[in-house]
Amino acid sequence: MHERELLKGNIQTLILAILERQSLHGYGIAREIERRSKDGLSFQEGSIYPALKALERDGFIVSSWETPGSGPARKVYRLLPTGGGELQKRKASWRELVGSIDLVLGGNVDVQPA
Amino acid sequence: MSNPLESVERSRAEGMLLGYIEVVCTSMSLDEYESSRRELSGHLFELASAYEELDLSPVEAMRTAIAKLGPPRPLGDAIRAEDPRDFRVPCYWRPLMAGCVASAVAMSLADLLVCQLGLVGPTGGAVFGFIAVGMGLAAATFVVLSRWTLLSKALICGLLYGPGLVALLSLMNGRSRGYEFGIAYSILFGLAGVATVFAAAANTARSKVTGPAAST
Repeated sequence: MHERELLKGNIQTLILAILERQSLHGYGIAREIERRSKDGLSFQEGSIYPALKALERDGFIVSSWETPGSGPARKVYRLLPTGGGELQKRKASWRELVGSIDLVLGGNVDVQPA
Repeated sequence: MSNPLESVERSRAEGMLLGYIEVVCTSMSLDEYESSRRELSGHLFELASAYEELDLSPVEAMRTAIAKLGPPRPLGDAIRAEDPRDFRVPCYWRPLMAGCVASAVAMSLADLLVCQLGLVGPTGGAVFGFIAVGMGLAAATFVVLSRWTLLSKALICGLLYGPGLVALLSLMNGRSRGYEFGIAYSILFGLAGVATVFAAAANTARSKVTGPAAST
């Protein structure tokens, strides 16, 4: 439950990181998150779509309908330069947060002998 | 020759997909409806196909795919909440009310203070109340719809509120007021504008935290 909440707050950052390497559609983004996390991140894939919409509204990504060789058209999302800048900012603040939490946890964890 | 059982299964799976998509996309704007329907259908079809490759039946595969996407109603609410074209008054009634109330209270206090300082007699009255509420409504709408930073919004409202009201009151009185009146009213009602912006923005932020967007 706690992991799910943590993921919810960072889904936009994950999407920006995925789109940094390649333009993808919603399904592809979900698979890529799964692949890069080695199935470590379990989330409801629907939550990708409001996050994509918010990122597009804020001008960080742009979408277009593309028709692959076979199959139906897909809405493919592409990272904009502003999105790249935003990703760097988010990465920096994430690392800062994780570092600070690590310091607190490291200072307080009291390992009891078995 | 196609297997009739499989054909029935596929129809059932398709029916499940359509039912899910309809609930997600209900009350979306027409453009958003069409786009989300195509996008989510594609996602579900691809996901269900992947599950079918793991030897699930079409119905089981679709059921698993739907579960993986999440409950339809919160998903639809969350998508709608992020749609900039989806302006519906009920979504914004709280910030608009907060803006009106903050404006009325802040303006009344400012007016009282100006009267206490002896610069003018009490303005008061229903007309003043309508002006306060109207300006609060305008400021809150501005807060909700514009994409500027909160400080920029507060600065703009602060600069427009005071001088705008002074001009309006002077027009209503049919004569120009004194220099001190203009300065005092401009500053105090400018602050009233800033207070209104902050109240409406705080309410908008609270709606976002507790609203559907947070439930995905």
